[in-house]
Amino acid sequence: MSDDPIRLQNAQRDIRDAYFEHDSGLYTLNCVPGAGKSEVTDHISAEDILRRYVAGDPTPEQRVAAISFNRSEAESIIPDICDRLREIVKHDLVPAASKVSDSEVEYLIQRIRQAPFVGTIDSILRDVLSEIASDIGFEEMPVVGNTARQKQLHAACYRAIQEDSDLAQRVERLEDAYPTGEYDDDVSEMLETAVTYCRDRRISTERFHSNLEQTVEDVYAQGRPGSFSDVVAAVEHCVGADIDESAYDDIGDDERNRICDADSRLHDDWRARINDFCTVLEEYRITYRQTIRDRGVVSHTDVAYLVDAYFDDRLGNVDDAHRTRIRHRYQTRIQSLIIDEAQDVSSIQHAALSHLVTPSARVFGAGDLLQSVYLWRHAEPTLFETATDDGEYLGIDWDIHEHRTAKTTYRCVPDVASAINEISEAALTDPARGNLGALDVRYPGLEADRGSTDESNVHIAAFDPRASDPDSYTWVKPVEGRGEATTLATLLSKGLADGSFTDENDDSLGITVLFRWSSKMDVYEEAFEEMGLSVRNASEDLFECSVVDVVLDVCEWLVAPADPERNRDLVIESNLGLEPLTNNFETHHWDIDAILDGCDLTDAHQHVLGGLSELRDRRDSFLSRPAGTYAQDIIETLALRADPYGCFDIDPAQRVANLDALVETLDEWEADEHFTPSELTELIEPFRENPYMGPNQPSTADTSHDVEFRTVHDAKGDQDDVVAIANPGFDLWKHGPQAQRFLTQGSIAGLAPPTNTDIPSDVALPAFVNGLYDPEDTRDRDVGLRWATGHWCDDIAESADSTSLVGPERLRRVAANERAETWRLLYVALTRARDHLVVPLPRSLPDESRPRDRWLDTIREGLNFTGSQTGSYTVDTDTGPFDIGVNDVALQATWAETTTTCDDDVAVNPPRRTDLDPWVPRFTNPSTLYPLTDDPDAQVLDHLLGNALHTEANDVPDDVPLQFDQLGPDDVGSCLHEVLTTLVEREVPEHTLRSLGDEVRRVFDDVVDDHTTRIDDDERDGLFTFFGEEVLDDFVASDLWGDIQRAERVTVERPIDGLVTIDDVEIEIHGTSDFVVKLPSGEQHVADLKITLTDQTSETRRRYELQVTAYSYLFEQQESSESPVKRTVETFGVERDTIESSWPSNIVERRLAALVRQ
Amino acid sequence: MATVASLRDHGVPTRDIAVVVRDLDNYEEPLYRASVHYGLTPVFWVQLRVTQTRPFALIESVCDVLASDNPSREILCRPLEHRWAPPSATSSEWPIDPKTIQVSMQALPDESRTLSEWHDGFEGNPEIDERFVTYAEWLGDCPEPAPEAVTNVLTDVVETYEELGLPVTKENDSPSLIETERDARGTVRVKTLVQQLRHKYADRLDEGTLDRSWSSVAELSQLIATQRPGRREHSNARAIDILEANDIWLLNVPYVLAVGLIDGEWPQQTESVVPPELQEAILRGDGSVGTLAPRTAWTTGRDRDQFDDTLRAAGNGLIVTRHTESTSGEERRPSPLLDHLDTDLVPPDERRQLMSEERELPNSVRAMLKHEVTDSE
Repeated sequence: MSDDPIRLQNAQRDIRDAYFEHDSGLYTLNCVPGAGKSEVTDHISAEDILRRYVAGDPTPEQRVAAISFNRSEAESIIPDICDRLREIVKHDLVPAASKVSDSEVEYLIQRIRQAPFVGTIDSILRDVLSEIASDIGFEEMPVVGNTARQKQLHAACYRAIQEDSDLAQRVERLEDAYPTGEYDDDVSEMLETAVTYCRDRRISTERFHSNLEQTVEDVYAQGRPGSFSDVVAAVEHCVGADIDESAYDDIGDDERNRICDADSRLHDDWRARINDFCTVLEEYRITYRQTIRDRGVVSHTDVAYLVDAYFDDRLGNVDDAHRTRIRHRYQTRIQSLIIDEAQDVSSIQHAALSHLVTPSARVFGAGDLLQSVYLWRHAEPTLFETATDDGEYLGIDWDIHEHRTAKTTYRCVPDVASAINEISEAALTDPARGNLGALDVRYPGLEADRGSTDESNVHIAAFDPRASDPDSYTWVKPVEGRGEATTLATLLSKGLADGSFTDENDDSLGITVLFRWSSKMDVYEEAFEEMGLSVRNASEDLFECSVVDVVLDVCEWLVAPADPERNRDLVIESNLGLEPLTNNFETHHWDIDAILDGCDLTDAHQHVLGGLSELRDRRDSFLSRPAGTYAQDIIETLALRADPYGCFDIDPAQRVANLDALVETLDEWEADEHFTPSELTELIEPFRENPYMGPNQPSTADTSHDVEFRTVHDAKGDQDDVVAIANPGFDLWKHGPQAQRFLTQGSIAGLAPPTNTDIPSDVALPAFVNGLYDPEDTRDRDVGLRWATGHWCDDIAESADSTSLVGPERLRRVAANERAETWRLLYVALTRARDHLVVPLPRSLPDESRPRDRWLDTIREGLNFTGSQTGSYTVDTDTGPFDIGVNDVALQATWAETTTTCDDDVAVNPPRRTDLDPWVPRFTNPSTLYPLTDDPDAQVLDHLLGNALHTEANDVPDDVPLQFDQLGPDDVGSCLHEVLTTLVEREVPEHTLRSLGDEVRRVFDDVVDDHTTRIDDDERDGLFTFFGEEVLDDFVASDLWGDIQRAERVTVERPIDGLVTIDDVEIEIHGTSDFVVKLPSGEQHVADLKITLTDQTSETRRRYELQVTAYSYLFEQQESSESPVKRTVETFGVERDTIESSWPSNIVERRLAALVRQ
Repeated sequence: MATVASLRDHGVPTRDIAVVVRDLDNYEEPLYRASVHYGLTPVFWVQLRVTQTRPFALIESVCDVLASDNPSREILCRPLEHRWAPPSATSSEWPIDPKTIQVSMQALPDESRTLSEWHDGFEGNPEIDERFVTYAEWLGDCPEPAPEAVTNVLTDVVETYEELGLPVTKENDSPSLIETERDARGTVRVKTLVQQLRHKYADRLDEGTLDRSWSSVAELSQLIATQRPGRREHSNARAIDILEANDIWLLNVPYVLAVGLIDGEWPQQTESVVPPELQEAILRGDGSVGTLAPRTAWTTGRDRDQFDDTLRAAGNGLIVTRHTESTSGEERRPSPLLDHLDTDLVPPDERRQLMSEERELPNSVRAMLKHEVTDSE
């Protein structure tokens, strides 16, 4: 932590003072980028908690909710509040600081780490859902925000709808009208979007229906066309001015009639499809409502919707008392609510949050309307706008409302601030650009707090473009010559080399290159790498990666690996490199084993096919283990991380990172479920079809990278020393509403006209490139008269408004809002820079300047770049001049990567499973040491199973008078063994033993009953007789008994443990000696007891001898006593024997060493 | 695990190394894979996830078939895939090898049928392995699911698996017998489970909380399997011990590697139904609630204690690892437990070297080894 603490200043301080002056109220802070928005929210959170603690609340963290929209920012809130709290106290920044000791600060920090309401809005609402889930029909807390499971759920809902005979015709008509296309939403996707939209807006299907109808009515403002003149009137309606009707002079009457007829058909078909869509949607919503409960899977929007609906009593059938209790709990808990990035809150999140707050709370909202760039994710910036302007927020008209605007930026240097102001003020306040949409834009202007530097801070990478579209590859990176990307890369690399982009210690500054879309990142990356710059780029789709595809292909194949079709797919379609074997496979009926056995294969093919065969044999384990685990099996078996045969043209580190990311994604998606290969295939399918919907490939660059590529959206909230704006020449109308089938923006919803209405394509309808309606062609500014466009009115009719887009009112508003947001996005991009702002600009434009259609032209204008400047030039502004450098780096300087990279072992060598050292027993027992060391391979399974290890023994002789009905030979052995040791342990006197007195019988019966309850009297009596005659008599006559009689102390079943270390392998021996008898002479007799039902073999004898020796070994290790120890194995039963061993005790080590060194 | 492998390269004995994680739930699988990559056999001192073992999958799949009136091809054949064999089988014939099963399955219609229809379909069909008939007959002979009958059927199944299925695992396993040990532990556990099942199933039938069906049996098996701990003894003397922090107490291991020192992972907040205000009052011991015993689980105190145990367990050196960002690039902050620990940071180039093919121990770890030599001198 720096010794110089952050002290709130100006508006920051004012709003903080106002906040703590009252116990309740609404406090809003509109901040320019870099104004320290997060510092203020962290400070207020920390001070609020501190004040509450000082006022006597021991758990103040329970009262303060601090939330942000962005997940990564939300994760840092707690640490940041903790840091700020320490800082506040250390530097005594507020009065309460002096009232706590260091240990109390540490206590508070511990508490803050447990704060329940700090995180994203979604996480808070999830917490509420967990309280009410069972009350609203969920069996348990559902899985939230799991993209794959949600997709699967929607697929299930759509299937249900398809199978509903009442809807079949409507669904069929809709599918015909809106067929699946590469870039178009199909019916299932539109239904999915519609559900989310309705839930976000809290509207019924009926209202949604009328919303769609309104759009149609707006498009057909004159109603169903009755003549061609109605069509012309519609054009004029869209343009908002009279048009030159002579453009239609060439259209003959027949054609006019055809157009009019087609337009009428389109009108009718459209309304009919909307009717179909809403009928289907109504059922879909019912199915969805039930399916989220059945499957326990919900989206974040669902969570907010359910919380709102629960408190709003829209769900019905819930326990009122419980609801009141829950509401009360949250409302009493949350006494302070601090919202960062308030402009990004969506309508439904706002509605849900409003139930948790009362007018007695304090609410602080910090945001920046000019950074509102999430309209497409249903952000509703007007909520924050109303809060700042009118003091209404969270459903409360606040009595106390304080608002401040923080214009001072602590982020960028003055020249960068000036450049941003020059570009953005004009762009954002222009009614044809940033002020085109519904949001009322006021540009506060950045006032830089930092001091000026004596170097250029604004740089243009100027280049002479090849005549082409500024969004084309020819422009960005032509085959010959230098394009935009290479020029930018050159400026950055030479700037690093000559010190322009290094700090006072000559360390490189952080450089971020920002993109509107990720589509040009690949060529940019190529250009940057050519200039020696290492790039961190985490914007490529994981499911685009060939090695990831292979894992999923193999999963799919494992659904039925004996299916020739699947084998064919794997050989021909997958990237496993098996295609050259197609003929062989055909000959061998697509049988992998036949190929392995019968063909002359390369090592690579041998490896892949061998792996597949192994995976097929292990398929059953894939049915009971998580997908992430068997994906690992596939990766390991096919050695995909190491790729020893170079099958994949992908950087090794990226290959490893992508495979790791795949496993992690599967684990995350699977959560607690287990998906079989077949279920997994179904789950993944939508993401394989549309990889952009899935996760990105992780970045493999570590902290040593020179440059990071990010999209502007991704970088929002972050900053960097040097920021460059890449690819500014894209057309703003690209991907606009004209290219979308289904629009859901704010209060407007629109379903495009059906695509299958018969419309003459040979008749032009100027100025619409695509006539009446041709949705196939989305590359132009329009898809025809009857949908949204990207045209400007004054381009069509000079007299028309130059700040208005062509189109019916509602669609025009959608387009305008999107456009306006794009300008705010540029503002977000520019304001990420701290020290240097870099833009690639052409010295000349291929066509006339179009600042309202491209960032490129707007930036060029803002920076007064004419193309002719070199070196550096000055721009005069109202607040003073600033300098701009043009390619202002040393041309001879060369940047070379200083770090050498070597691949990780995992990217080079396959897993070493077959090299794992052979198994060696870790725990052994003296009694099983012989069989285990004699034939470990034969004994290992029984050892692992904890079964008895048998040595070769004779059969039980026929004359043994035992029945073995309920108790088999092993049971008899262990039973009688236990009876004997128990008798000794209980010190039963010799005469009782000899007379088989009552106590003997009691012990015997107890032990037998413990072993079995079903033994009949005959078997029991027979066993007792055998015990008395064959065991006990001999026992009482034995030397062992004599020793026991004379002993000072007898220990029964004494554990004796020891450790053998061979090389560096430790093997533990754990034995239990049946009797340890200490004689008055100091001598000890250690004896183990065996009940024998057979005559000994040489094997059993050796086994006993090794057991005796092992006990000797253990005693030698354990005891330093000089007194002699006698060790025996005593057998009783069919054969009476005393076995002593003459073996040296180190035989134990030798036998174990043989195991270790085998 | 590269560090462990390097320590082993430097002659540090297996038992002088322990890897410690707060919670193995998310670390077991990655550490297992990493161990195998570096040629190390790991053992995880946690309960076996018995539901993911083959013997469990086998008994569960048998219940599933018997529970279904019209099993699908997949449901029907799953026990065979999990190496079902008839109780009287011999090892030369059973279990059926996977390829044969899959080829036969391919020849079967992808539909649901009754057991007797399946049986009739198998008989005399040259494309179906004739052992399928034996299987279908066995299914047909299975009794109604009375508690004792269930136990007998499943005991036969698992004992036959022990006899014939487990050796197949051993046959296919690496010399370290990792899979075999897991399978054997699963077998022992499932045998116990089947015995427990009999009583619990009977109890539930008596209580009326379960109906008499094979699907109830499957459901109950899942429940018992996830509740009851299994044997935790590990059999391989050459395996590296990987433990959870609550097991490191009182151990003394020269080199301890503590993994996952990330804020939010270690320490980790535990959920409690007691409101935080009351917890705090009890912990403070104010007023009458002071008579209640303090609960370390309510604070992160237990995690701190376990981290202290981890520190204490390390005789020569403690190596702490943490990741700095998630796969999606989000920053991961260090654990606050590291705040007061004086650590040497391994420089990035040494870390890369450690991870590379030319593996080398970082200097600061190497220094721990020298320290040991000096001590012993």
